[in-house]
Amino acid sequence: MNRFFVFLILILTISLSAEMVKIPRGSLKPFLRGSEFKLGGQIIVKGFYLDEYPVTKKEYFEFIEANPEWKKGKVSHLFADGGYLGDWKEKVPISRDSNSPVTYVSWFSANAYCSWKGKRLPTESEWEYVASIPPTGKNKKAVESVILGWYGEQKPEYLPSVGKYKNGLGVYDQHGMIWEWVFDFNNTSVTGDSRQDTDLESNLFCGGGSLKANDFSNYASYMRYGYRAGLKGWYTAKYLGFRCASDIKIKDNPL
Amino acid sequence: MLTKLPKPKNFEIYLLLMIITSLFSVCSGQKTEEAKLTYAPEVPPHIDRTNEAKVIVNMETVEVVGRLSDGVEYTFWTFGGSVPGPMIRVREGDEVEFHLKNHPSSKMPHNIDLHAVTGQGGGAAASLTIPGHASKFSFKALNPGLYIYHCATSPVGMHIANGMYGLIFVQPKDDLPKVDKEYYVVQSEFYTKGKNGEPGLQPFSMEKAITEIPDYVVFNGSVGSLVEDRAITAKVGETVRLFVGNGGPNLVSSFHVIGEIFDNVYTEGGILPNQKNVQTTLIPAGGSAIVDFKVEVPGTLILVDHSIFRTFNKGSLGMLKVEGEPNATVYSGKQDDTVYLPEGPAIQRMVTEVKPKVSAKTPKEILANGERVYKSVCAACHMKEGQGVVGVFPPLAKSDYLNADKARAIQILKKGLSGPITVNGQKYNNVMPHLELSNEEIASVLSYVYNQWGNKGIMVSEAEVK
Repeated sequence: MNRFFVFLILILTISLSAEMVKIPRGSLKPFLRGSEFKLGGQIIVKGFYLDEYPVTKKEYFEFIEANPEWKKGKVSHLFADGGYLGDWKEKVPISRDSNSPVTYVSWFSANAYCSWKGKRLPTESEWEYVASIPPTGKNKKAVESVILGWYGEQKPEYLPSVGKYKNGLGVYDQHGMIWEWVFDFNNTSVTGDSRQDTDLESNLFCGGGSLKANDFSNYASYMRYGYRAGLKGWYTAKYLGFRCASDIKIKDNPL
Repeated sequence: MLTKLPKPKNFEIYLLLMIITSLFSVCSGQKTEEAKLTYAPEVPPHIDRTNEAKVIVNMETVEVVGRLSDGVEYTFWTFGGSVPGPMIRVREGDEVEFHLKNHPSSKMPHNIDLHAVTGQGGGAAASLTIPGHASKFSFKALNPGLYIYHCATSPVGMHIANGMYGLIFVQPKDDLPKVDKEYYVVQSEFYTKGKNGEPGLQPFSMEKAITEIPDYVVFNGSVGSLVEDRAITAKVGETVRLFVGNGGPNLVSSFHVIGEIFDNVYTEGGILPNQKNVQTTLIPAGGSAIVDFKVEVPGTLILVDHSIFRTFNKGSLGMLKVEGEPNATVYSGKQDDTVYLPEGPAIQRMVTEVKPKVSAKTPKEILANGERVYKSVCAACHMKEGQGVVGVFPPLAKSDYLNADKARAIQILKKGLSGPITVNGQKYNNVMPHLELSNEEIASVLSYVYNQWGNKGIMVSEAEVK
């Protein structure tokens, strides 16, 4: 009975026809100067597809219905910490924010979701490349102002529905709403051989932050890289969600 | 149902465990205690023990919207929900186990860099914590003194600018002299999109932070946090110690208490009282100072940053209210108040030093002459654009009072004006001095004013002034 009611609400909620957006091949100036990237160097990002919106609570609910091992309360603590789906009432999302991005999800669960869809998590470079594209007709300052505005605004009681901010490629909400998991979220702070390069982990703190960046004015990026550096695969957090990527276009299965 | 008492058997085991545990702690010779954290202006209690201890500090980072000034709100990033964060007091030699918890509602990752820590990043790298998680690290309080702590997550400046700093006092083994009152004061500045006083929730301005032009310079996190009923207090005869920090992020502070002389200054938060009888002490950004003094007479002492425009225009003003019996020998208070009028009780005459002697003929020349007179004589009070100062100097721009009566305007310039008038609905009661202008100057400056700022555009001739 309860479940039927929930389904009814979910069906009645206006559903967004989430498409994957074709991302053309391009290049990205890395924010951090690692050993492999020289100042002024570029990272080439091959063409791929990226979800138009972050994964919503409604979509995630479909996933756990089909994959009960990812239900709230059932997930192993190796794969998600105690906060997993922490803002869901009982085992379902609250109907009023079913079109809001799903948060309180771990890397493992996000990865499982994308696999279930036949997709994968975007790499950090892919994500950053798309995120660096400003809205049509605007410059990078506009991107920064969205991010800084989000940092300073009053926290909403509920996350808004997806579709607030659109970039020049037609990808929504990479800024101004949540943080997002990427496949290699720890790659800036982990080195191939920690015995040789023990200092790398401090890239993002204090002095390191001002020595290693390619763009010192890009405060918004410092925060994003700092956030990722603090993550472990099983962590979940209130403002941390995800979206999926793919090398080929995947049509979303309708409900 | 009532809770059952533990069964005797379990109780015995429990007792045994208790004994073993306490034996262990006695053997290791170290006590464990939780640090009592206090919110400004309160200072944690003096540590009376003479042994080293293991001290647990529990601190939480929270992002909250709070009051920056009257009508002005700001999204503060905080330690412990307040700006500055809670004050920590440990003793030299203590082993501090630090637990940093980032509240689940936070958007940002946070960490802590305690300047009291000897070790990489002051603990920063060891305490990077994303929302909803907690980190733990330990350090030994090797160096006594007063130290700033702050968030050092990238971008560091932004975390500090948003309010993440506080003080930790490592009480020396060789203790500071006892005082009667101790207070905790931290200066810092805020950079907002809107200018000082612009109401509403004000976002952080990165541009102003980088150019180091703050809109607010405050003590303890907001304008007026230490005034009126929030003022700190003392009684005559008491000794007062201020633990003063400067969170920055950018400005250094010229810390001063109006009406008091610091008996001792422990400059830069060290533990040597290395200077006596100091009026103003410099506190660097990310630094501190300890000052103490005996209050001798009652009154309200004003804590300021003596880089003084900050104080009176941006908020760095606090109060120390001292109660008790007056002591006329130390300070008499006002002993007399008499009238001093070098020219008698009439309107004063202001002598203009240089008398311009320009004979203007054409209207253009008259207006140019009038502009020159206005700028040199009138603009100081009535302002450059004739806008005046509300309640003090009446506006000349779009002035109903001025436009209503040309003859009256001439008389005011010839003889001055005192007493109440109403201009554009606003009451003024001030004195305009007699300016000793020539008739020609009066004619041209009035013509100029009448032809500016939406006034009625008439000319005043020299003949009319006579």
